[in-house]
Amino acid sequence: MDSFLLALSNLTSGWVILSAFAGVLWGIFGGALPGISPSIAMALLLPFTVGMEATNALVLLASVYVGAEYGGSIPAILIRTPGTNSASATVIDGNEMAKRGQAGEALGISLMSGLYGGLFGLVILVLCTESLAKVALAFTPAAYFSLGILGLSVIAGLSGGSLLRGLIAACMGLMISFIGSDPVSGVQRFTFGSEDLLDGVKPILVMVGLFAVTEMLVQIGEPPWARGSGGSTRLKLPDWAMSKRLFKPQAIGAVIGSIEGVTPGAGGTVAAFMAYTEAKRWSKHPEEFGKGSPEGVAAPESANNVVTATALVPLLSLGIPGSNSAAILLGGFLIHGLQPGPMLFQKAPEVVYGLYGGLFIANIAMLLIGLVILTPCMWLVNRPKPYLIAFILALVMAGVFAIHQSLFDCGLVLVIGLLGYVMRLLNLPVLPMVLGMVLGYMVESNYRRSLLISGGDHSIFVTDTVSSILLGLAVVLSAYTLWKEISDRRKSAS
Amino acid sequence: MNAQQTDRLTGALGLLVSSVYVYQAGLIEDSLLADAVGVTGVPIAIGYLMAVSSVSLLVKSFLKNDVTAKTDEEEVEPGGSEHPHWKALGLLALLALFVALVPVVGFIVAIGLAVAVIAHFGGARGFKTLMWCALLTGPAIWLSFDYALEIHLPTGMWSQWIGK
Repeated sequence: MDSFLLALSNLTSGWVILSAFAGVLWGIFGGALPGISPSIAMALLLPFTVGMEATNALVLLASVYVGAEYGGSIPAILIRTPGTNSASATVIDGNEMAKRGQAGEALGISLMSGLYGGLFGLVILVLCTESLAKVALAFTPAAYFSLGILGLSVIAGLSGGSLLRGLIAACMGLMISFIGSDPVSGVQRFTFGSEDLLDGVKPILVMVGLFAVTEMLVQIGEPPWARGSGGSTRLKLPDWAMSKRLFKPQAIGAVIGSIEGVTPGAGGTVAAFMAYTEAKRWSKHPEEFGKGSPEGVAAPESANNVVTATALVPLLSLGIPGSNSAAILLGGFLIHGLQPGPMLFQKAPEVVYGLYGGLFIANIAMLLIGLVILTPCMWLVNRPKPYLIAFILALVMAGVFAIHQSLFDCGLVLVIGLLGYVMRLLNLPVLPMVLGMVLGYMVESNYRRSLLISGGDHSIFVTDTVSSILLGLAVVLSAYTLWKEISDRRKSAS
Repeated sequence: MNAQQTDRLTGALGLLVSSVYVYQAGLIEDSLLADAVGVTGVPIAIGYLMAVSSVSLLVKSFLKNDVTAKTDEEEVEPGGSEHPHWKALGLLALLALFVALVPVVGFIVAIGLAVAVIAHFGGARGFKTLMWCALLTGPAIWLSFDYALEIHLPTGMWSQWIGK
């Protein structure tokens, strides 16, 4: 009850409401720009949250994610260019509807399906997270080590089909996490005499470099984005008859989005395409799919918005980010001195429940802003790309400088941006690296603490019940992903 | 590069990075407070794991000798740059120049210049538009940070006029 009241109090807090609206607005603009994923839109704002109160900062970042999922569907429907990866499935029927002169209807369906999906995901988030975190409260250092290993075992699922590449990327992230003071003795490691590296490399700098700077380095050599007609389209919300027809695909999207959201590595794109396929399978009019079916817009839009909330379940309860956007939100927690995971509910419950309240406001804000944002959004999409790249980089540099008032950080972000560019050339996945970086400290410090407790006896990781269960889960998960990778390869070969 | 060449390059670079990392880890002096694992125990283990993964990737690329694989080096997207990697490096050099200029000319001037030069480098033309971008961006960012967020940006040589 106290938790409910805490969440409710945030619904009336002026700063939380302002953060939610500002985040959604920024997210819609960011999502509408092809090439700017939700995680990049979030990463661009991350440095600006340093001076903010923790709850407001996290609501701002989470609201960007909510807004970007709707924003991504605007160019997907109007100009056949998905603003975000997860809006790719919306292109299929959304753009066909637009070609038939039903762009306003398609955008209305996208908005309402996103709203229902977002609210459904929020219910799942509230119901699952705390109970999962309560289980994790019984953790010893050995169990925390095994939790870190379990977190690292999802790398296989995040590796884009190559476990070896995922492992290399994760090792790079772990290597970066070892820079700075040793967690037990305080000895400096890999600082090369630089005072700026004494505290290690902050995750926020790695995330801004890998997501924002790398993307701009890629975009500068790519062709201009497609242009829209200018903003004459008017949004039209679905009427009662249409709402009844859309209920089933929205429900399918909500269920699939919930499952995919809590599964690390799956994410909104997989959820959207699966929801599209299942909605077609269960539809009374499957023949309309691909030719401008409203159900073909509702299912993926519902699914990818559910993910905006359910992707936070593993992050808030166990401290494991399962997607790029969750990793950026983790960065938001870390820069405010908060460590997501079981202890978060004990140490800062107001932040967690504030985030729940903020997410509710963000979904309402998405509806209100979505009704009026279309014309300015299309104006922005039509700005020349070179100017947008220049302004985004100016924002990145100013934001990064603002974190510690350090030009060294600006230089470091450029180096990390270059590293991200090289990783992209070599097809090395970024998310395992981020995962390695954020879990590195947890794994190493708890491994060494456990051995100090056991007097150097490694059997502590097996004799501790929770630790052995988590290690077992890690083994099962790794074996399953490996088996799936091999069977997928055999299928594609045959 | 085709997938096979990418695997080989990734494996070779991974092996190089892990070797340098393990060597550097070996140079770190252990503390008297250190435990059984030591200051360098985990980093060295991760270095070895990366080396093994890199070697496995290399071996895999040599075993899977796909002679039909084609390179995609020549493929240029319509409207895109013919040399996207050089373009990316050029942008990075401009940003590095910006970082170097900040202590001298201050953040406001440097960011204004950077916006105009980067937009021009990206293909924007029209001297007036670029000039307006430069003239508006610098002061806009300075006002937002110094006054709205109370984060003071370096003013460089202009510090005597507009404070530090």
